[in-house]
Amino acid sequence: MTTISNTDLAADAHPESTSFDAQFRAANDRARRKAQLMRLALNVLGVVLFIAIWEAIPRYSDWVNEVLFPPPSTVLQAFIPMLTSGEIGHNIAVSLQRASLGFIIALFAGISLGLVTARVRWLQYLVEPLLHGFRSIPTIALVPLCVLWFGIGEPSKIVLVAWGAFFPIWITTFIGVRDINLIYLRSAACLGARRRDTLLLVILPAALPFILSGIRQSIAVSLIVLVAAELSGASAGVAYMMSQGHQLFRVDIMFIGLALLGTFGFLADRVFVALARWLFPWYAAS
Amino acid sequence: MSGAPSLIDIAGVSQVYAGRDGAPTWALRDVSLQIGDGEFVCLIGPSRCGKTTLLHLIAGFLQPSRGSVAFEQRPVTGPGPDRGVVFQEYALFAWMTARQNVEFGLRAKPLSRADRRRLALYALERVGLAAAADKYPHEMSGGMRQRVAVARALVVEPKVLLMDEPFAAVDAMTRQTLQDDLLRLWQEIGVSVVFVTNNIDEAIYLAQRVVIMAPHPGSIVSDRRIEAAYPRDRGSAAFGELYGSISGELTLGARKAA
Repeated sequence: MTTISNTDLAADAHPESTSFDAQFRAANDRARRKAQLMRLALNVLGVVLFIAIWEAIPRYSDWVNEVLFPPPSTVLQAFIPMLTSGEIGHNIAVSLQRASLGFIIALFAGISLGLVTARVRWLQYLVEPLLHGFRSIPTIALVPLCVLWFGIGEPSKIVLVAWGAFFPIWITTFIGVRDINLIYLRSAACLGARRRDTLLLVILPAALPFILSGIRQSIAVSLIVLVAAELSGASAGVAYMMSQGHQLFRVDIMFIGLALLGTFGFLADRVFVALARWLFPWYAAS
Repeated sequence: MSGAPSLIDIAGVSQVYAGRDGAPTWALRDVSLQIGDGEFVCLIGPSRCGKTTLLHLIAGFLQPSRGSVAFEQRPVTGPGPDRGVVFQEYALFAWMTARQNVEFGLRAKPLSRADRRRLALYALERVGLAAAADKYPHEMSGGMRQRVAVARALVVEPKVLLMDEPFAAVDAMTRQTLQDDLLRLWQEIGVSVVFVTNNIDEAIYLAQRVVIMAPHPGSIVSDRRIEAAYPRDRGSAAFGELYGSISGELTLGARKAA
């Protein structure tokens, strides 16, 4: 909300005239655009400042070791040949595939199990202690076991990501469906709604805000578990690349990995938010 | 009442539930009530007098602890489209537009998508909201939402409309127009209406019969017929007289309970 002050408008503009309306709109648009531009400029400035300080400190001070803390220019020099050779692209593709496969399994399992456990009372009581027990085990603690069971190939990574990402989706779906406002179910029932319509058009949408927050959490968890799984033994992937960098004492390569992981997480979250807004216009507004 | 069987037949109904300390609490005790086809009945009483419980028993959301609730001579076993409900809170599906909300009840019927749409738009038109068909509930005022709720309940052509303090949350001006619109719809369609309220003025303005209830335990104090023609004049002497006597009965019931 911006306030348009007198100085933005012509002194002779009469409040009832059409020129006042046009002038006010123009001034309001100008003010809004200016505020947006200012924000963007500061966003960019923050990043630029960070990179400049990061570049300057290893170069011009002697209290930081340039090998242990390479400046951005060194990291970029390492990055470009790895990019053109396709090495980075391959590692990204491998990691993304693992993460997304595991996540998709978790999505379907989490929503369907959450739904069933919240709707069927005896099943809820039956599996509640087990699910909460398993949920309490940090997924990373399962990495060695998973490697023993499934080897160091793809299955162990996908299983680990799916396991870790499952619980946030399950618990939020469960809570969302369990705590659904009774009035929605009663409304559907006294309109003679069929089971399928009630499930798909009433129960799931009513629980959606919860489910979406679980999905968002799961995206972050997927990335964490992915890194842990790849560090424990792999032949490709972003975290694998980082552990190679570690063994070769190439901190610049490790920094590339960190930057990639940060970008993944950020983009995945943005894409998720944009997708949720586009698919569920009522969700953000209500 | 004539010899014709009534639409709703509540016979010796009691509703007991466990209170906070586990003690039996009587929401209703030994309540009997008949409601005829096309009748407009208001249930009025202070909070906890069991008026909403009674409405929920007719809707089939609850089963009586004792006694029986019958609709068209058949015991009520659960909710169904022959008994439409309009709730006090906003029960519209927040993720659907006004039109989609109204269409929802038509999905269970063998109708084409186009017919569903046409019927829903017609139902919205009847409550004066054709222009708001594509609005989401959060884009509508409280009064508009309750109009959509009425359209959604009526579109499946129920025999009775059960309304639980539907206009309690809207401002006084809007409330009056909603009341007038409800009366018009009732007269046009001929549906029965059971209307729960705690507002004496509303009950006298709307109902052919006012059923006065009292709490502890929930029971019926009196059942009065209002013969005055519609539209009723709130400023008339008869209206004021009724107001006084119903108000007296309500305070008497409340005092006896307290």
